[in-house]
Amino acid sequence: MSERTEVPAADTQRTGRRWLVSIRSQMLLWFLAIAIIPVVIVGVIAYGTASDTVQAMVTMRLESIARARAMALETFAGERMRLLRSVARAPGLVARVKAGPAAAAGDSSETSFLHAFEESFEFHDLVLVDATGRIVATTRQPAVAGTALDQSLLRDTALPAAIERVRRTAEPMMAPPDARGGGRPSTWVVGPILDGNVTIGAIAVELPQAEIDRLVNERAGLGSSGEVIVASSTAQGWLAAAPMRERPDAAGSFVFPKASGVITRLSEAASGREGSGRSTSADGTPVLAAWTRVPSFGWALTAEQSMAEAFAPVRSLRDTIILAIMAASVVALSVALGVSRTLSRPLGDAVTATRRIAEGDLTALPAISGHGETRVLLRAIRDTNTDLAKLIGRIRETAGQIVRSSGTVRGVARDQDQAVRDFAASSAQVASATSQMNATSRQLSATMIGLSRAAEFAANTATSGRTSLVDLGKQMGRLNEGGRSVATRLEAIRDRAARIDSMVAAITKVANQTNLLAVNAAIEAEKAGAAGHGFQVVAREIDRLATQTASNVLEIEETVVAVQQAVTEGVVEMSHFVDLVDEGCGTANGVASQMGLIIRQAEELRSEFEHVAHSVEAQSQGVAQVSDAMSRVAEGARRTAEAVERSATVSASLDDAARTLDADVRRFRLPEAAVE
Amino acid sequence: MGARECAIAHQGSGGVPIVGMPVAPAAGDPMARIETPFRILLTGAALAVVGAGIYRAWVADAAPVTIGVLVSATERSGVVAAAELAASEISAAGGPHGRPIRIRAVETKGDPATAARSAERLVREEGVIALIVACTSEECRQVGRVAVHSGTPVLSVQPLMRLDESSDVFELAGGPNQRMIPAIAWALNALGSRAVFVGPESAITRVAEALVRDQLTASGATLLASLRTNAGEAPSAAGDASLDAAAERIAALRPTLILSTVEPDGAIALAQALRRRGLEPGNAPTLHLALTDDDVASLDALSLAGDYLITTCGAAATLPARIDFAKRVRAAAPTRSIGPLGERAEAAYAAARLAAAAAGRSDPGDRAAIAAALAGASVDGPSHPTSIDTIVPMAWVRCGIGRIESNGSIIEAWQDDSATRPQPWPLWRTRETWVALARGETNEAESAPQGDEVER
Repeated sequence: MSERTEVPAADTQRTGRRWLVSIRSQMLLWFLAIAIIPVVIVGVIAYGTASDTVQAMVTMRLESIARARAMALETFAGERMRLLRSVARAPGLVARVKAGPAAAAGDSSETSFLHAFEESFEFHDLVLVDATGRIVATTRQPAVAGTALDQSLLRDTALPAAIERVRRTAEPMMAPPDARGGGRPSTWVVGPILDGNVTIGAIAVELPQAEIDRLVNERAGLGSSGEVIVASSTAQGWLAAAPMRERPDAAGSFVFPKASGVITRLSEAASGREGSGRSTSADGTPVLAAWTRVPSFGWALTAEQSMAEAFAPVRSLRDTIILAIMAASVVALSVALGVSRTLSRPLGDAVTATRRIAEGDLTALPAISGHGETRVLLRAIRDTNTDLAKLIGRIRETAGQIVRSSGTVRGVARDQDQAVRDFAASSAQVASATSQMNATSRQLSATMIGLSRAAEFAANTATSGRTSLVDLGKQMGRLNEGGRSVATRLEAIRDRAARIDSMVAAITKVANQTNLLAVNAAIEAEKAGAAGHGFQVVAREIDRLATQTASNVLEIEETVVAVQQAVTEGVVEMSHFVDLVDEGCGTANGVASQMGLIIRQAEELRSEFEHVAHSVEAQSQGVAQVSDAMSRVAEGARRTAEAVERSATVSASLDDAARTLDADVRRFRLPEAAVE
Repeated sequence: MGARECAIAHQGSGGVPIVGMPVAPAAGDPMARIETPFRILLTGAALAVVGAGIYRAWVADAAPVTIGVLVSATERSGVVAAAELAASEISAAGGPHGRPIRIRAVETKGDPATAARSAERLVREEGVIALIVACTSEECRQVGRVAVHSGTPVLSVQPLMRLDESSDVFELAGGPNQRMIPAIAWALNALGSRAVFVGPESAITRVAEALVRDQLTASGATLLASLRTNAGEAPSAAGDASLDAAAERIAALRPTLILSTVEPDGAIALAQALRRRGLEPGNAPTLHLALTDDDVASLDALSLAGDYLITTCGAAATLPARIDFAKRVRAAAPTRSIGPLGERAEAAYAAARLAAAAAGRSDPGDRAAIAAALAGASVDGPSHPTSIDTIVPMAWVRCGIGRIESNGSIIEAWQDDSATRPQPWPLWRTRETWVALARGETNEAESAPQGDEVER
């Protein structure tokens, strides 16, 4: 139920979107955009620029007016002060002041002079005061002449203080504004009357309000709503000092409302800040204004013009821009509709034809209409229709062929797959066997290398032994030589012993003869008696010595015999030892010869072992290469199997695609010619 | 063809890659959802933003307007700092014709030739639109000549005595009728009428002496003597014997009022010499006609305690506006040592604002137009508005008298009711006489209609 309600909504939405993206709506939108946006942008910029420009120009004009009015007032006041400077030493005035009020009363010429002076410079009033503060003369109230200033009607004005100051400073000045009698404030300019360097009095002139009003109310350039306002700050607030356009009696009576923008402007001006900008008038109307101060009068001055009047040209421009936008919109819509119609009709035919083609109906050709690109488009669609029909026909045939070919390809692929699998299995076996051979060869190579190293070690050991045997033979040779030398020496000892024996015999013989001699001597001594007694002692001693010698000789003889016997035994033993050593030397030499033979054989064996090890290594590398080659062959076989599998898959996909294509193509309805 | 329109490979229905097939935009790509018109609009908006940025950068890059400041001593750094504060405030508010203000300050070291060269360089090389000058009278004259030759307006914060009568030299410190005449009038009325005048040989002394004579004569008071010290306009040496001699002479005369134009250092020595001779402010106060509150701030105020001076911007140092001004100046240059911020600094601040306002009302490249626009111009100063007269190139000034306290502060003794219109040449004498007096072409004894002998 819900689907039934959603479907129309979706359709509506789709239709809306379709309209939005249609050429007609797009062209309308774009034409509007192209026509309106630039106009709007230009209009906004022009309006903004014009507003800024107008405001800048108006404020500049107002600034200029405000400054011009202020300068005019300043110049007016300055000229009056210069005038009073110029008459400070005027002989007539000096004489008038010196003469005093009594003299002036009957002097019509002096009175006429004062009146002429007043009229020439359009003063409202003129007062002469002497150094004591007495009124000497006045043009408005001649009757007060002779009265002290502080007792006259002028006592409550700013005039007495101003005159006192002028008396001290001898410089003209403007008295602060005052509201004599509560009316409009008077404006007095006071100057000194100098007699030489001595201030003998003062002259005060009241400035004509009409002239001041004329200067203030000069409204050239202010339009119908413009205004120049001068005001002074009083206890009551900001008091208008001159008539206003809408309030002719404002001077001295109108106090500006505190909430208005005028107060802000006047305060700014009084503090010395000149400026301009947007503000509000006394009655709250938005205005453009400029403000400045008038120091001579102690006033603030502002010139203003209502924004409605100031911006009237801008509003006119705005209205024109709006009209231009509307006109541009109408023109743009009309042009867009016309252009879109010339495009949308042939494009609609093209869309219909294209949609028919999309639905598979190639039997009807679109009619050629329109101009330019749309006509070309329709013709292209028509050609496309024709070509597509031919193409579809060929595709149909091709699709059948592909289906058939793909079946064949699949069969071949299956066979290839089996063959590749067998090949892969064999390759794997060979690879396994070669791997084992490789491992065995590596082991054998390692063993041969071990044997070679053992043979090398044995040869090294035998070489070392042979060297030791040679050294032993040499040692035994030296021992044999030593033995022979000992035997020779023993022989010599034995010979010496034999000669000792003969010497012992000789000694024995000497001893015996000595003993015989001693006996003879003893006999003779005995014969000699006492004289021979000494000789008898010697004979006895000689006898004792001969006996002792014979005893010793006997011992020596025994010792010599023993030595001879020992030497003889030593000679025999040594001879035997020498023989043994000779025999040992012969044996050692034989062993050394045998060891040399063993060494040569061991070295030969080691080189053989190394040769075998190298051969086994080379064999092992060959086996490894065979193994790697077989692995690659196996990998190739695996990949070939995968390729064959993919080929089979692709073949299946191709078969499916061909069947799908065939099915898709079959939905096209072709003209008879194309089918044929 | 974009990347989305021509994919390298696309997975076909059978899983086999098909090369060269166009690909539909990805559903998650935000750009795909942005239609071409909107894209164009976005591009247009981006270009507008970039254009606005370039325009703002161009406007912000506007060349600055330069104002030159010439000061004769480093003690007057307050003048430079005040002018820089005004420049930064004006620049922050947009500046004349959208251009910032730049201050170029040069110290002239009291040498008129240096001042003239510096002014020449500032005008020619820096292209200043105006020169603010806080120098001696002679330096100002030299600067004025350069400025007049080039048509550059000069705004002096020092009294010039109108030695140069060029309409391009604007004097903000006030003329005789704005400072001395009201001050002397007040002193004769409030302090006493037996007066002695003392000062060095200088233009200001000659003019002041003539004014004193005229006013005393006008008010019937007595000038007991007019004394000269040795020192000229340059600061007098503390050990100047002429100051002692003057003090000795003054003590002998027993005046009730001493009017002095002695410059700052000499004023201290003179005050000490007077005190030593029993002349205290209580019985013979001194009114200093040539000192300003800037000078007092940098002097030994204890020696001058009880004396009086002229002020033009409110005597009370505790005036909130002046305190706020001093805070702003020091905050703008926190790392710099800034000298006293008295009336000269305030005048420099107003001068910078006046020059900028005049440049805003005219072409900043046209110095003559700027000078013309200065006439009648008015700005808000730190403690009072400053207005240039429409006729005379001088400011309206409100005179006041301040009493010097021992801690250097100034207590307001009197203030005029309103600002006084400038009038360079008082009425007592002719203009030619004043000019001759100021230039030293005639002496007071010769020019004075009546009066006492000048003692030198």
